[in-house]
Amino acid sequence: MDPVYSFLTMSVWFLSTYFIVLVLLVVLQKRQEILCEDTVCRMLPDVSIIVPAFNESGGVLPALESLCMLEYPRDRYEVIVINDGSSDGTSEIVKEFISKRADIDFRFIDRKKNMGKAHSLNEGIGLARGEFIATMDADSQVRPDILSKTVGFFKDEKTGAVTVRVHVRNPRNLLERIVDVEYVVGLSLSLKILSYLSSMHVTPGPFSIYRKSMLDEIGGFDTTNIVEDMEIAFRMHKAGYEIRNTLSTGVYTIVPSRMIDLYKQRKRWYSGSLLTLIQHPDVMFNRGLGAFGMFFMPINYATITLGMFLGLYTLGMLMSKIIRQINYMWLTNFELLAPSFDFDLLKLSIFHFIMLSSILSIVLMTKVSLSVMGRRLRDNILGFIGFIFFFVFYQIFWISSFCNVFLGREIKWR
Amino acid sequence: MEVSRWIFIKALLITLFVLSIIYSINIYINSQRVETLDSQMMDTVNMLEEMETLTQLMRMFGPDATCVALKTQLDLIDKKIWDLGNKIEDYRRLSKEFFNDPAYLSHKRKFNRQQVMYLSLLKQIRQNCDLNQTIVLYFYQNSEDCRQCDDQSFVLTHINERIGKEIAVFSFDADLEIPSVDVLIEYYGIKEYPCTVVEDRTYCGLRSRNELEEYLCLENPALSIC
Repeated sequence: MDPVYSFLTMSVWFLSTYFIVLVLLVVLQKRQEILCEDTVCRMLPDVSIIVPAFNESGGVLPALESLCMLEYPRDRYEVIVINDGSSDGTSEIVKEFISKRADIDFRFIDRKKNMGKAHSLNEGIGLARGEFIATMDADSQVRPDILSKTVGFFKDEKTGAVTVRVHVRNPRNLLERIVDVEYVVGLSLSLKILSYLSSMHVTPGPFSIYRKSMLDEIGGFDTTNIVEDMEIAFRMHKAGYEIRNTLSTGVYTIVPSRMIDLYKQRKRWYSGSLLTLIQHPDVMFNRGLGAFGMFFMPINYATITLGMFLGLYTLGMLMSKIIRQINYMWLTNFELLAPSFDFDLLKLSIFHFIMLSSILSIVLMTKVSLSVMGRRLRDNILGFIGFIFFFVFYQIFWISSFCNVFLGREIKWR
Repeated sequence: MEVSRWIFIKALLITLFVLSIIYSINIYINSQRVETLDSQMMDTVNMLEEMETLTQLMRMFGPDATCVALKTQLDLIDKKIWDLGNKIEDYRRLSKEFFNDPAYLSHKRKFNRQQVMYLSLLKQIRQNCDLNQTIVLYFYQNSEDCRQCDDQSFVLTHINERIGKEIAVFSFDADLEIPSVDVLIEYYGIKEYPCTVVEDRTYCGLRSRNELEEYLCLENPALSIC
């Protein structure tokens, strides 16, 4: 076995297993409070909810309807909808909806030119009257208790933002079901655990709520970044703010239903996360940022980078094996003989065990995540099985994103 | 941070513990492989000794009395040696994935010697009993030095799978510097690898299935592939 391949395999195994073990230990330690946290706030503060919309004619109505159902005093929140130059009639739909809902403090900014999500958010922040700013995707729907269960976290002056559980809305096909499981593991439980470790690296776009004074202090969202919800998290850490997470409430969002759309989405996410790291290299091994700088960032990006090289190396070896097999076939006139099955347990090598233990740890992590989140395995068994083996595609997405960044290709938000 | 810093150390220790379990299982499996090879080698040695005894008896009592027993013994040992050779290669490759166990080199040396022994017995038996098995000797170097050796091994394995009962293939690792193998290398004038000897005729360089079948048919037109 090639020593480079051995090194990559062992490193990726060690880093990923260490992270999974750490997550499981935190779950064990915090199991009583993961889903229910006391965040009661007697004085409900004013909140401004900003909803940027670009060609969201299909999803904006349910999003706005969900905001009308909030269990929060109506005089305590306002909704600022910003049409970001849509060409599909989003503007008319929003206008008509708002005209019928005089009971809610809606404001509508109808911009003809598309300026990007971060620009819209900053515009909304500039207009906002609330002490706290919630940002919400126009294709998402929030739970009625989303404000009442998040504002309490801001009692702590260090809390700069609060994120919530992200649900996949009505997963139907296999891909959506796989992403549903991924969201339970990656965008719900893992983020909760990272919040316990003061290492949250993202404030997810579907819904997050921020302290307005903090946004003013750090200068709002970066309009040049394609993953503005991640970039802002980096600056929040640097400014000394904590990002908290609650799983007791959540937001429902739609996910790509086709592989090509998932690929485009991930290319933006992953390329964006690499570009954000290039933009903020000082977060790496930064003692001042605590576990975020000294633990999460180095381990996360080391695993990603080594995993990507491992993926490339494996691909190379696979290609070489295929070429060699074709050569063998050519030497033997492409005559196929009946394969002989010689099952020998002693032919298992250390790498089979590494592979097996990796799969088992992913299975365990996924099962624990589903269980903690109150999800039954049998309700999405296909998504569960698919997710276990989906890491191959994540590797491909990462390789593609690295190439994009390395070659300096432009990555668009949509 | 809402969790104790000790949790990072605990996670590290657990991960190291899991790694040590995997490593221990690997060591255990490796020892089982060595034991399996030892046991199979012992079987082969016993069979060779039995053949040697039968060959001695043939000299004393003549072929009529011993050839049937020798042919039966040949059928058994032929398959056994072929499987053993494959097993040593497979196990050695697996062991090399993590550490290079010298036990496999020792096994390989013994195996090469056993093959030389088997070859000399087979030649004696062929002279006295009515045996139409074509002898093929294959000399190779380890794959880092000889890129085409793997290809040649594949072609010979393919041919052996098709007409294994009609031919006897012996493979020798030229890198091991075993005196008896070196004698064969010298005798057949082998200078480059891979090199195949079909019934005392030497063909060095990579040979395709068609070429090897042609050489085999040249030596023994009675083969089923001819």
